[in-house]
Amino acid sequence: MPKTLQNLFTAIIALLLTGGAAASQPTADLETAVKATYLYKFAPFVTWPDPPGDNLTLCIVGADPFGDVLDRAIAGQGYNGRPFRILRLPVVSTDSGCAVAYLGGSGDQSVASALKALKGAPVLTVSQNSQAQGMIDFVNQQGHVRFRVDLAAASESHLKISSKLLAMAVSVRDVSGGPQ
Amino acid sequence: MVCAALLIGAVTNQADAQPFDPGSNPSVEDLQRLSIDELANIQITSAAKHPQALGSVAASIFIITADDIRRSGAVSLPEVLRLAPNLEVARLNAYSWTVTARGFNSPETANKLLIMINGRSVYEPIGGGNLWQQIDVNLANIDRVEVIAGPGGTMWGANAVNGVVNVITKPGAQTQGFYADVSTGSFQRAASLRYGGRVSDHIGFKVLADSFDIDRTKPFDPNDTTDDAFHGAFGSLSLTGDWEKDKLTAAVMTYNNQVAGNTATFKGTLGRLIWSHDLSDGGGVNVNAVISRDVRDEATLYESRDSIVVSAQHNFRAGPHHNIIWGGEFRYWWENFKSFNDFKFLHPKTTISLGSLFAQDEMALRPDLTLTMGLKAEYNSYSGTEWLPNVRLAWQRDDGSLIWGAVSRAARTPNRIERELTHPIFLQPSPDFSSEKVTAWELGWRAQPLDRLSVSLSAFYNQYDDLRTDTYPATIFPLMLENGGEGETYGIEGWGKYDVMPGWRLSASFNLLHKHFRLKPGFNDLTGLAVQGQDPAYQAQIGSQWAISPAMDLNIVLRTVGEVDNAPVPAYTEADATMSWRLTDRLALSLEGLNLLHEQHLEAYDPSTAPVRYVPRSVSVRLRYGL
Repeated sequence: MPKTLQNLFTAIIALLLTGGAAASQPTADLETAVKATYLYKFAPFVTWPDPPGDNLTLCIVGADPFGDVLDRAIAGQGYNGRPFRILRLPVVSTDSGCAVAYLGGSGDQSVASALKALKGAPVLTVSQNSQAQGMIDFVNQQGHVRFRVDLAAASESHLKISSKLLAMAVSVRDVSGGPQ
Repeated sequence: MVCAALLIGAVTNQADAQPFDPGSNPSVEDLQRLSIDELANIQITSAAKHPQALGSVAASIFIITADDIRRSGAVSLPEVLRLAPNLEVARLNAYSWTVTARGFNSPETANKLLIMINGRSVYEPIGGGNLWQQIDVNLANIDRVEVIAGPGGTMWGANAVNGVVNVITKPGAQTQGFYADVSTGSFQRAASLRYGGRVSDHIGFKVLADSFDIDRTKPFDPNDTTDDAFHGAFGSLSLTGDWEKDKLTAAVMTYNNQVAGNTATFKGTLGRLIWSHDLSDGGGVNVNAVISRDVRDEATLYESRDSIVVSAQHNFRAGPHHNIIWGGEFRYWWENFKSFNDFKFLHPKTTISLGSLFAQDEMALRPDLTLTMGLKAEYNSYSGTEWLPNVRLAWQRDDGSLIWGAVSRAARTPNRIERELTHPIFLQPSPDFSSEKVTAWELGWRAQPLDRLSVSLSAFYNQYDDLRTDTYPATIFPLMLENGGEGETYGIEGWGKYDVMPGWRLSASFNLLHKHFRLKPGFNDLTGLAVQGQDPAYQAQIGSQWAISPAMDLNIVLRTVGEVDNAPVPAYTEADATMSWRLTDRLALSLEGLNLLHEQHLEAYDPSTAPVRYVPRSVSVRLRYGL
C-alpha cells in the first residue's frame, strides 16, 4: 500500500473514533412520523363548508400515539398562510373547534362514540386499527402507510375530498353506500 | 415497481423505499418536504421486502430524491447525476456526456459504470459504456436515483466495475392525476405531460410524453461548423395492478432523438413486464422481462440492437441469522453493425447470449454485526465466464453510526469494437482481448452525529489488471488491442447534510482521486495509457435548499471540479440556482439557472470522438402543474 494511502486510512480511522463520540438522539418511529405528517398534509385536499378562518386545528382525541412528533411535524408548516394548532382532548364534541380530529379512543370516549358525537359536523375524522372508522382510516399496505376514505361520511358532514386524495385511497366507501 | 433497488445485499428489493439518505431514517422534519404522494411511498417497514434497512447498506451509496431533482433545474439525467458526489459528470456537447465513478472518465474509457433504469441495464454492450443519446428518462417521473460507487458485480453483473446508478421511477399509484411541466430557456427547452388514472380499485395506468430541445454549443475550434443541437421525444404507457401481495406492471415506451439536420438519429422501443410477490415469510419474488429494439443511425455507422432479457430473484430468511437472496438472468441480443468508413466488422451481424446466477447471504454475526457474502457467475457467449464475488461487513454501533468495509472483484467485459473492429492499414482484430478486472477494497463510515447532521465518508483502494492497451508492432501499424495495462487508484468520497431549521438544509460534499497506471512487462501502448481516462483529482460541492416560505423555494449549488489529467481541461467552478414560487396548490413557477458563473466552460476534451465544445450558461423559466 502506498504511503499516502496508509495515511488516508489512518485519518479515516481517527475520524471514526472521534466522530462516534457525539451522542445522537433516537429517531422517532417512522410509521408514527408518516401518520403525523399525513394529518396536516390532508388539509389542502379537503374543503370545509366554512373555511377555517383561524388557525386550522388538529385535534388528538383520547389516546395520543404521536406525542411531540406531531408538534415537530407541523413546525414551520401552515394552511392558508397560518400555522396549524394542536389540541389534545379526552372527549370531543361539535364545539371543540376541530377541523381534523384523530380519534385515538379512550375509556372516556370510544372511537365509535367520538364518531357519533361528531356525526354531521364538518370535522375530518381520522382513525386507525379500530372497528369504527373515521372518514380517513390508516391502513398499512405492503409496508406503506395508506388510507381508506369514507366518502359517504364526509359528504354527510359537507366536506369535499379532492379527487387526488380519492385516487390515492386504498378503497373508497361511496356516497351510495357500499365500497367502490 | 421493480427490483431496481436490489443492492449490494442491502437495500429493499422494491422500488418504493425511502427517498432519503441511507445514513439515517428520515426524521419527521424530513417528511415535511414530501408531497402527499411521496409520503404514501415511504417504506415504513423493510421486513416485508428485504431484511436490511437502507441505513445499513455497506457501500458508498448516495440517494438523489425526487425533491432534489425538482429543485435542481435539470433537464436531462446526467444533469441530475451532477448532484451525486460519488460520480464524475462531464458534458461533451449538446447531446453527449461522459459519466463515471472513481476515475476512467472520457468518451472512450467511461465503460465501468452500470446504469439501470427500473432494474434494466442500459449499458451499451457493443461499444461498451453508456450511450446517453439513447437513454431517455422522464425526470418528473423519477422517484429517486441511487448512486453506488464501487463494484456491484455480485448483484448487477459484469461492467458494474466502478459503480452502479439505479434510476427508480414513481410507482403508478403515486402519480395519479394530471401533471405538466414546461420549461423554456436560453440553452434548453423541455416539456413533459403525464396522466395517471385508475381502471379499477387495483389497476392503475400512467401515460407519459415528453420532449426536449437543446441548442448548438459553442465550438472550441473556431473553424468547427458542425451543429450538435439535439432534440427528441419520449412516450410511455404503463399499467399496474396492485394487490395485497402481488404487483404486476406492464409498460411500453418509445423514444426518438435527433442531432441537428438528422446527422444522427437514435430511436428505440421497449416493452416490459414486472411481477413482484410478497411471500408470507417476509421474503419476496421478483420476475422481470424486457424486449427492446434500439437503432442508431449516424454519418459513419448504423447499428440496430434487439434484445430480450428475463430475470428473476427470490429473497428469504433462513433461520434467525441468515437472509438469502439469489437469482438469475438470461439475456439474448441480436446486433447489426454497419460502418460507412474503413473501420469495419468482418461479420456485421451477430447474436450474443448471456446467462448468470448469483446468491448472496447476509449473516447476522451479532445483533450489531452483519457479514454479507455473495458470488455471481456470469457466462457471456462472446467473452466467456466471469466470477464476481464480494464480501461486506457492516458494524452498526450503539450511537446509530455505521462502519462498513468491503472487498470485491468485478470485470468489464470485452465488446465487439475491441475484438472485431478492423482496418486494412491501422487495425487488426483482437479476438483474444479479454476482460478488464478490478479488485476493490473499501472502507466507510456513516453517522448522524447530531440530530440534524448526517455524514458519510468512504475510502477505496482499487487494483486494476488487464486494462486495454493499443499494442503496436515494429512496423507501428496495424495496431492490436491487448490487456497490457495495470494500476491502482485510491481516494475518498464524503458528504454531509445539515438541517439548519425546518425548511432549510445545507449540504457539502467532496471527492479525491489518485491514479497510478503502468504497462505490464512486455507490452507497449501507442495511446500512452489513455485507458486510465481523464479525471479531475478533486471535486467539491456545497448546496442550500431553503423553503423561504411555504410558497417559495430557493435552491443553490456551487460546485468546483479540479483540472482534468491527460486532457487540457482547466479546473472550473460553477453555480446552479433555482427559485420557485408555488402560485396555487397545483401550479408553480420557477426561474432556473445552470452554470451561471461563466458564459461558457470546458468539461471534457477528446477531439478523436467528437468536436470539442463548451458548456454554456443556461437560464430557463419553468411552469409545473399538478405538483
